[in-house]
Amino acid sequence: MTGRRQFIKQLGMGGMLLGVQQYPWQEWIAGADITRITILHTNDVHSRIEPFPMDGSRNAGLGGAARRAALIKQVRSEQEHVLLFDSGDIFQGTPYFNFYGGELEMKLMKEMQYDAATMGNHDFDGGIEGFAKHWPSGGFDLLCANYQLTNTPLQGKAKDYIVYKKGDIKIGVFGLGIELDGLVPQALYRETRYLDPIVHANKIAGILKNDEGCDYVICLSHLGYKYENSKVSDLVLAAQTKGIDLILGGHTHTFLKEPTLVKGSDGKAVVINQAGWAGIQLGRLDLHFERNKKGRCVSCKNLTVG
Amino acid sequence: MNRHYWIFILASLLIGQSCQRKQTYFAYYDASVYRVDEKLKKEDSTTLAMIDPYKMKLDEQMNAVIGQNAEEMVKAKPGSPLTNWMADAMTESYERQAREKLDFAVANYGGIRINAVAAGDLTLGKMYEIMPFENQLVVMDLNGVQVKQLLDRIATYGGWPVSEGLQFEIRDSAAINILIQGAPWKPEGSYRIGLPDYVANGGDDCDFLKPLPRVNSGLLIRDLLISDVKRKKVLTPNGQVRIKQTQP
Repeated sequence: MTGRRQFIKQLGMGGMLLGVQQYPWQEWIAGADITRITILHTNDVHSRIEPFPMDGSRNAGLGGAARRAALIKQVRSEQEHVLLFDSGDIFQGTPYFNFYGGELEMKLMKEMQYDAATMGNHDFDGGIEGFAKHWPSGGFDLLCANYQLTNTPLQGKAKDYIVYKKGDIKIGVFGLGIELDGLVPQALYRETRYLDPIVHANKIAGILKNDEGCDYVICLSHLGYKYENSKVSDLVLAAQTKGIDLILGGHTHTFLKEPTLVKGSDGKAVVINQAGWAGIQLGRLDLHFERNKKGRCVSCKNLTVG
Repeated sequence: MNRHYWIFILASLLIGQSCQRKQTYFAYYDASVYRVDEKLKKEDSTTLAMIDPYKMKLDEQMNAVIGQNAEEMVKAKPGSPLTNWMADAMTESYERQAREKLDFAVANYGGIRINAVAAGDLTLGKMYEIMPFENQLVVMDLNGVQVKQLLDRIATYGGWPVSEGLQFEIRDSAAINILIQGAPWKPEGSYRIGLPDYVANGGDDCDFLKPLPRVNSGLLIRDLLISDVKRKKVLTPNGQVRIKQTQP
């Protein structure tokens, strides 16, 4: 946009919003405006639609879609910009999945207005055609950057990435899945091909940052938080890629007290978070973006990697 | 003159500001986590109403009684009536449906997701509690050396569910005095075994099984357990000692 057109647009906006807080004069005096985007996330919900039964076991009474939905609706009523994500393994773990194949899980995700999710290994448990059948009821974008889905029912349906525009901020989101061989019978994942997550993450993050002009890049990962062996985890992914700002993980059912910070291959901090499993937790990150014309950031805090 | 002067100043200010482009910076984040527990008093009524018809139909089916359990069966290492039943049910149901014999079957200890099955009605729901996952039975032909490797792994775990065709002792985390179908184990022997795909695919540190040929039966372990209950109608605990911890 040219300076002149932007000038006219701002004047127009100022006219429209006269007396409202976003009136450009105020913004110019302050020198910056802050946009807050609230990220909510789950992973490995595993068909846990009702809370765990009150049977004296460790998780008794925890979780439940109705409570989570109430919480999400509460946050939406308080925040202007909300994005809701899931990092896979939506399916499998209660008879709801065995009997209804994932139909209810998807309908509830639509009610909660999930924006995007990636696929976990258990999302293939009803066959890739089972997931493809119920996914349209979920109303969310399916992001699988490192699964080649040619000749599967998800061909042309899953995307590598998507860009969400919230206010003036562009958030790029992509998804990564775990190697299926050894975890899922081939009869279920069929012709899905697992591709190197590091290579594809670098490629997609580069596209999002450079070509799509994203201000922030989020990876929904079902790779797992950490492994004792050399298997690719979120910790490895963060260290060996550049351009990812936030990894919302899954698979290892990891409960983190606070997000982990890892230095990316360009030395910049990457934030990793995971929210346990079964809908016991709902993770939240409030991202703050500053926009100004000063050529420097006033409110930025340095992310120091320990 | 004075008026024009101010308009000029104002105009140049506006143009000056607007010619410079805004830049966006990621400033900082605040992280928090919600625990979804009973302290959250609110449940979303739309969500509850959506779940309700599914729950009613499900409860009806899950409460269906498919058989009886004569006495409580507990899960314990190195072996117990519950672990014995699981491995035997896998073997017997498979042999009936596939019309071929197995030398023995094993399952990983974590494959039984319940600590005890009470005496009384066995519902379909109970079968899902015992085995919630969609693991299927895999059949593998192993040589004696490979069998020994598997049994040593089972020994390090302190015992897994094993079927009647297999007996051994654990000493120093190794399997010794192995009997298969009543005959002493031979390194040069060939054995047909049944096991969950989870284990065959390398689960529970059984990586060595991963590259070996196998046949996926397509039969879910839970379905094998269900058909066993339906066939026997009443389960009676079998406390036969198949794995014995031996002091060195």
